[in-house]
Amino acid sequence: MAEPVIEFRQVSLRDGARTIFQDVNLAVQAGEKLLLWGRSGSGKSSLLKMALGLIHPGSGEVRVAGQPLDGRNVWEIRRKIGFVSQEFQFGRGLTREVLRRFGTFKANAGAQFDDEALRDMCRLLELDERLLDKPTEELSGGERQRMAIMLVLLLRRQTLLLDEVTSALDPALKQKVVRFLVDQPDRTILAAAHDDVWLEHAQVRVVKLEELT
Amino acid sequence: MNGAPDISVLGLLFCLLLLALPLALEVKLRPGIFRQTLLAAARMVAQLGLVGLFLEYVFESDLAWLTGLWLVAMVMFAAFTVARSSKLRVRKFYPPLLASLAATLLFVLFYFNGAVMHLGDLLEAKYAIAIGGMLLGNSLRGCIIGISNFYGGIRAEEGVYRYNLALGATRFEALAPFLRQAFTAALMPTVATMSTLGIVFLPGMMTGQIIGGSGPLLAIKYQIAIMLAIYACIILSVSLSLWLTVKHAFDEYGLLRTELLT
Repeated sequence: MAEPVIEFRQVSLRDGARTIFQDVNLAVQAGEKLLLWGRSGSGKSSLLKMALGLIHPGSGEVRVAGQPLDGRNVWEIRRKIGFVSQEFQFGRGLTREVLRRFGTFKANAGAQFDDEALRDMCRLLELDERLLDKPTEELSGGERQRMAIMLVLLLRRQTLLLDEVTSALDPALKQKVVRFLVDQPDRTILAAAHDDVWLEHAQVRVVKLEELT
Repeated sequence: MNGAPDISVLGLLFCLLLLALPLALEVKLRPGIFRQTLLAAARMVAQLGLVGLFLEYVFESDLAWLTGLWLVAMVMFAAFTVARSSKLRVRKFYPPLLASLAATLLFVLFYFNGAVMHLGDLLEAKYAIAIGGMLLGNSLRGCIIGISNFYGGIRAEEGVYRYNLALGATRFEALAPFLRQAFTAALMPTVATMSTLGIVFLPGMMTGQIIGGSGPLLAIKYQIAIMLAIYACIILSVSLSLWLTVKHAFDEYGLLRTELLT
């Protein structure tokens, strides 16, 4: 069997004296759609961030593409994984310009951020195109969430880490976005969510974080 | 040059009388600053008194090693002040800040004294200490503004910074917006001063030259030269400080080591 794309081995996380999770073992295979399911504060988001070296585990090992994650290879790994998080912010400026700023990174040299690509994405995510010319600070929660999904799709990453990506969307759009994401056989997805809509798809493997510890 | 007229002890006492103004403010509004003002004024008098006596001796003797020693002491004190005022852990950040300020001062001061002033002795006490003090004072101010703005900006917008990292930014690409902000904040006061110089106010060096007996044209030449040297100093010291402190302030994953900030 091929090496998992992302693997957590005996990973623990503490916040001061409190143990958030302990000895988690989890492997995400290429092309798999894995949903982390669990109550708020169970550490789902933290686990996703660990795969990008944005949080360090208290103990255990995170492996990406068969390699233990460390300070040297994390930079290359971040070039290959797309991440959407409700906590993160784009930065200030006109939305179109802010999105394009990510395209100026060397890692994203191949990504298309021209008007046509942005228009197509707006159509897919049912966004009013005029929002692209609004400052990011004026976008609503649902609009920001869709812009973040748009950004990660434009970056064309094969592996996606999605943290509550549909929480602020209306039910019909949730269905549409999740269906779009899970219907791409080549994409590997590790998602953390509360939304039942993910559970409707047979291709999604659901894992309860509490049961892993 | 005829030299500036002396200020008598009585004259200085009249100056101290101006402290009645903050006292009046304290009585009326109680902003709680009079005690601090008095302490600061006392410190200023004591510090300048001692420095004055010392500089009398340094200028009189004009010994290169003594001038060098005085510059070293100034840089050491400045580096400490920058670390503390920029809310960085002094123990960790003192060496890079010291190196940044020392390298900047050495380069710009020697360039100024050599290429601009054509001094035979680059460490001639009168010039090295006076010009060095102005350059260092401005570097210090620029570094405090630049460094505080840089690390404060990343702390305040850590979500933006981490999002950049997560989506493949190199260390430099993720830091670039905060570097831009830091340089703008550090340089704008000097840019504003340069653009209003002579119209809104006459700066210290020019005023000093004029009172000391120089003609306005000579004073202006000095002022232009020192302003450009100050500008260069701020750019150099902020660049070096950020470049050298960033190595300590972030871990190998590019995350800010907040435990090193106060």
